[in-house]
Amino acid sequence: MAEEVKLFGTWASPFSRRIEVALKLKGVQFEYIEENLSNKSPALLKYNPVHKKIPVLVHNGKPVAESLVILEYIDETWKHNPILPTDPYEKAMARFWAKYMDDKLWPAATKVVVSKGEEQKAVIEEIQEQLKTLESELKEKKFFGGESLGFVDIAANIIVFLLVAQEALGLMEILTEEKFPVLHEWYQRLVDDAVFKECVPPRERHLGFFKARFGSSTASK
Amino acid sequence: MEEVKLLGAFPSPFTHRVIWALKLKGVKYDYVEENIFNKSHLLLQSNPVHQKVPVLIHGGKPLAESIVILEYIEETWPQNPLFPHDPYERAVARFWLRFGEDKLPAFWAFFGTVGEEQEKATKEAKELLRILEEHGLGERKFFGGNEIGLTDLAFGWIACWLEVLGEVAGVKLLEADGFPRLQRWIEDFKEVPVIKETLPDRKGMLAYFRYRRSTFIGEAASYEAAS
Repeated sequence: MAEEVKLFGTWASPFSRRIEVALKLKGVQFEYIEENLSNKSPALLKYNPVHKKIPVLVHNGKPVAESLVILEYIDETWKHNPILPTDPYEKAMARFWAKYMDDKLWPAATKVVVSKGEEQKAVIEEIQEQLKTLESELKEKKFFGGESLGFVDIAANIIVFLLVAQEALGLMEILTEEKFPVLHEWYQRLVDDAVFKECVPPRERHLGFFKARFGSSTASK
Repeated sequence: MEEVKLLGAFPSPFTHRVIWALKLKGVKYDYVEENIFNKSHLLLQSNPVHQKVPVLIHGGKPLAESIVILEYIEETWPQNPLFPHDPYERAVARFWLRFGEDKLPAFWAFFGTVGEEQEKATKEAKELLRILEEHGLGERKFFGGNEIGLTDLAFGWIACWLEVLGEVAGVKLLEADGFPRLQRWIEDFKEVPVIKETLPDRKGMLAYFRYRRSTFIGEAASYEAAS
């Protein structure tokens, strides 16, 4: 049966990149459509009328929106290489931590790039508290998903974007090996993963993106 | 049979979502009413990350975040299903669950504001209700279809809490003819036997939310937690 999978996304969005990771992990062929957010396509507006946002996955003409919702849909539709555990409690915990990434880490990350001086320092401290929480959740595991990348690791891609922003804007180091020995190692494993590393924005372009948008007087050391 | 315990607070719509799901599935549980102004050691230990209700403790294992708990209940006790089987239908349901969560601060901003700020917040809340009316509910009897589902439970606050919050804040959101589908849904939702039996006491709710509003807008207030 011919299967049509389309992904509407943008190169610099962690939410969009999450979907690429999941589709690639499962070897699903898909057509990628890069959206211009200042000039959204009629197709995007048709497929996500409520939010008018990316990412949107369109599977055989039927649209799915909201990145964590799309990840679950992908896992339930293409069942090999599962990204969620089968045990209901483990699955619930994965959902809890993925939600944590979006509800806590993401708002803090968006705040850090637009704030300055003392306010920015305070946000960085807040982020480090959150990373401490994640560090104690990870414990001895190779990934949040266990032996291989899972739902929470994919949702944690926000951290990649945060650290690129940190570098671009000359901020103090956030995920230090000293403060976060466990998470630091996990991060290296994440960005070295064969599939994951194909799904991050090209580094130079990404650094340039942050510098252009948020750069100049926000640096604090 | 493993023990099921629910830590909750009677004025919390999040707690009620979980109560409704457990009752709809006929799951026996112990309920512990938390005083959110004086949280128990068990609550702080079971939900160290957020320190909030509701928390479900099943066989000693704690779970927090009501939307996460709802799906866990569905998967653990499959009788009387509250969620579709089809992956696409599930994605649609989860989309609306997510919408409800993300937009909650915007839905309720009118409650913590006054004057011009409140007018703006009220307008925004009505726009969100409009989206639910037209896109979320559409022609269906319930968000879940012909029978109530997890999405209906998640939006249960519209059926039971919205009117109380509005009365306390002096705002009317669901005008008589403005939202016919949502109005009909509210009536149908409140008629479901489990819901009807567990609607929180209105007088108690008014007292609690009057206190909350006065703290939000900076007035002096006192409140006696129900014992």
